Amino acid sequence: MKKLLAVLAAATLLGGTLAGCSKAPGKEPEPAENSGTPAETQEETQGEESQEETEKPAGSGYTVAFTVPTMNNPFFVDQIAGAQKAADERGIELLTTGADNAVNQQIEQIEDYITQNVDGMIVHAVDTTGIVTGIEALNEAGIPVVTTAEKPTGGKVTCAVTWDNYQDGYSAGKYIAEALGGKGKVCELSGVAGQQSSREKSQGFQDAIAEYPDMELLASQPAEFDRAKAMDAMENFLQSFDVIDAVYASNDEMALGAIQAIKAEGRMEEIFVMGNDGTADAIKAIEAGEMAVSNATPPFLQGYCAVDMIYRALKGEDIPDTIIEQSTIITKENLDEADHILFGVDEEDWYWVKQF
Amino acid sequence: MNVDKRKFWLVARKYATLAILILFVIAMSLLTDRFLTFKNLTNVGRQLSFNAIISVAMTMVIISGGIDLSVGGTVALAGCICAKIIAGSGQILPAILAALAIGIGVGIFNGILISRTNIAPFIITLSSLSVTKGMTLVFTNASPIPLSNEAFKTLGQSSFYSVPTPIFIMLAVFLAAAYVMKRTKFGRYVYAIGGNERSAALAGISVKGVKLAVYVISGLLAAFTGVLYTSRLSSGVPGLGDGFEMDAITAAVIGGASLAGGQGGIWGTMIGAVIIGILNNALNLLNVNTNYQSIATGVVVLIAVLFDWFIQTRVRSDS
Repeated sequence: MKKLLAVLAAATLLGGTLAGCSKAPGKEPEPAENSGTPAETQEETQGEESQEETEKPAGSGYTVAFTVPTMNNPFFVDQIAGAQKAADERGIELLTTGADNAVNQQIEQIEDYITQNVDGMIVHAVDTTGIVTGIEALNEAGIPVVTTAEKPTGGKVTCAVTWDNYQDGYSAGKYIAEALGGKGKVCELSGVAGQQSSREKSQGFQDAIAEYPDMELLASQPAEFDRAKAMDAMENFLQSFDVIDAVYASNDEMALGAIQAIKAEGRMEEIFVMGNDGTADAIKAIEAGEMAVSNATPPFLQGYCAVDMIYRALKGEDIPDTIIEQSTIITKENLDEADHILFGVDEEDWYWVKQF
Repeated sequence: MNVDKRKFWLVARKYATLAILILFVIAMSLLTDRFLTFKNLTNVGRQLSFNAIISVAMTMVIISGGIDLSVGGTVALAGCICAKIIAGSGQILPAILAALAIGIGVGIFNGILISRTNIAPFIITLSSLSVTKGMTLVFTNASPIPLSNEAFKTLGQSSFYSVPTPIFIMLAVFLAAAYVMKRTKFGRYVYAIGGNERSAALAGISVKGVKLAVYVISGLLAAFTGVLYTSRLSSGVPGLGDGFEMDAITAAVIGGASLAGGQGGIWGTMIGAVIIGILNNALNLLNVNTNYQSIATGVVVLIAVLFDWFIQTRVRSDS
């Protein structure tokens, strides 16, 4: 009996410890009683907070939640870092979570954030169609929502911070074709089979290549934005094709995986590798002369912009419903500006303000 | 050792998971006042109902001494077929029936191969997982299928007296399964085969037939979950179902099912599914980083099986 009790006690303690890993819940407003209008609820929440939270730096007191497809990818780590910076500057409490690339899990997270009565929500959807139920739930709860990457296909989004995937893929295709002088054999590593963004980017890339009669697309394979999977895919390409002039990977992680495979075969000199995103590792690879170019769509800026937009929305500012993100090509030539291109968030870098 | 002590451990074992669940609920309601609200509890209920339905079938498969890794693929394939038919024709009932037929088909495929060969169920269902996932990607062209059919939404999105419909469906599935496993011959056969296949066969039980039936039930319920999810998401999502088999196995194991077969129960699994659901929800509410959530799930599973092991050794040494 004693042992039984001991085990039970240990279980409880463990539960407590796990919970202790988290930040203590910052605010404890009334349990969500959806009697008031959303606006009222919001005001109550803020009011309570400013009274209770004396240790918090003076700021807006908003709580904003941010769900991304996965935390296991440098892109989203950077994106969240950017969002955190914007949140800190604006006195926003930012809650972040990753959804293991499962849209059902992401919807559950949104529901749980609604339960917590967050003031605003940022969603980087795993799947733009599947997420609609979650966006509608936010609409129903009166919580403004900003999305990053592709806009969900339904529901009401306050502001979509988005890039044009097709255009990104298309310009990448053009860039590679021009770099090869309009003649050459290319391989493509696309993202996740079944994901809209991956599809559009890939389509753009292939359309661009098709415009050059002397350019040949040898093969295209999805490697799930994953370095290890891209390495495997590239190894297969290298075995299959005696001549490969260029590889386009729709993110840097995959480009880096491809580079590892190419290096192992000793064919680095021969193959032009282009990535996308502009991650820290990619910059290093460009510096080392392994990756030729990365089309930077800086996640840090994206996260920063998303928080800025939700902040403006919460303050009641008039904001456009779409912000088109800027992408910048990074090569060895402009490496010294890379830091600024990727992480510059001084007020003059807020390109999105020009779109108001 | 005396009979009373042995009895005590057996009862303790039965209620151990329930005790963990209750402790858990108490701990969570002390840690955040957002937890024990009607809205949140119905949310959790709906969130866990999908996994719970698959877990029921998984428990039956595990009790029979097998395992079904193909459920995630069946969820995706059935869900997308259902979505495709509704998107094309607007016909709901034929769409659902077609999806369920797919599930039964996968079940028959698994069941026949497993009952007629010596190949491990692990291997066979692993390959059907791969096949069904691939088929889903091929026939959807890897694109999600959006739905705008309002009537179809009711299955996964409506509520009855503010309680989400999937919760009722889950309860119905649980009651039916618990009845089958406890009160019917078939249920006893499943336990018998998992406990000792040879003696079950010698006792005249149709081992092949029972095994086939168990995998068909598993495929059917997985397909049904796929339909339910498609309704919930208002779209057929090709990537749906990844890792569902592991969630279901986790729920069954927390609930006391033994992967060696012959042991486990539907109610235990229900508690297991609820523990996982509450764990995810609570960690979200407490804003625990997702990377820690996976650690937490692992720890809870370990606690459950260690507890189970501890009590089992007691029963053995006492008797």
